[in-house]
Amino acid sequence: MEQFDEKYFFELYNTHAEKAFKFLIKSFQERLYYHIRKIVLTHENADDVLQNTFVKIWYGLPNFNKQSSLYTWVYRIATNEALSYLRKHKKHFSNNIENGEQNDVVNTLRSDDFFEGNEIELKLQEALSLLPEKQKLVFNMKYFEHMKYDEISEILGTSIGALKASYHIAVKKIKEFLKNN
Amino acid sequence: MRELDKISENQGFKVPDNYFDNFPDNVLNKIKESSDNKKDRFRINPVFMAAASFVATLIIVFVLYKYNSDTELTYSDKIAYLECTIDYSDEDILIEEIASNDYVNADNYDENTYLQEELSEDDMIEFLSNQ
Repeated sequence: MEQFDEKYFFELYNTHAEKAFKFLIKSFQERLYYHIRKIVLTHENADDVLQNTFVKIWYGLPNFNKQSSLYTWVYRIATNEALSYLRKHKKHFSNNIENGEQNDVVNTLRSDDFFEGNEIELKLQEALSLLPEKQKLVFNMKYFEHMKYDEISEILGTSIGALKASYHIAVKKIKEFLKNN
Repeated sequence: MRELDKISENQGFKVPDNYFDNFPDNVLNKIKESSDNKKDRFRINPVFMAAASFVATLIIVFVLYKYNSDTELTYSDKIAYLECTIDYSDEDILIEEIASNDYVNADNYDENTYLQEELSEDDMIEFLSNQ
């Protein structure tokens, strides 16, 4: 992962706030986009959430107390924004698999112009949709985004021990799902 | 996890062409829009402001009038107020208060006159018999 120069950012922010903010967007937009997209699934939703995330970052920057790194702070905002978006639109994302109907996630992704996943990628999304929120987040952050446990712990506010347990359970469930389907 | 190894990091998710090129400007425009909206929320129509000022003036005048007329103290109110507030141990203050409120004309104060006016004959007999 490309290193973000926090010191340079804050020096620039103190003199040219807008220029510094543009630099921050360019540095984080792609990583945050895919992080959000894995939570909200469609491009339209991810775009909405990502824009709101950066608006919040802009208004939050003057009060940023530097107790955590900027990197974990922006990830925390993005994660919270995506999760609250999901909660607001809960009905749309509800999973009907319990009623024996086809998984909504698969239908949603098949109708999304910006999803070009193969069958195995669709299966993975189906498996992920059956996981509890935190297990799904931890699995994606650890397995696909290659984050360290201490970073995930700071972003999600969960102990490292609990994260390891969540990841272990998530991997087991996904393996089982892929094996049986 | 062999199947998982076949999955790309972005899990098949794509973005429209040039999406990330235009994104920073889109965000900055959104921020400018939102700060303009915030400013608009506090911008008040001048006609509305004039009407509101007029109504506020009327309310203040009414309240002041009402307050002043309702709080006019009667003579007994003033006495009660003095009884409550004045420290009788300080005679100077008491005298000053009475004099300034014109309850008694201190210049013409005559102790004998006061006694004559206030004590009846029965009172005097009772007083002397108790001595």
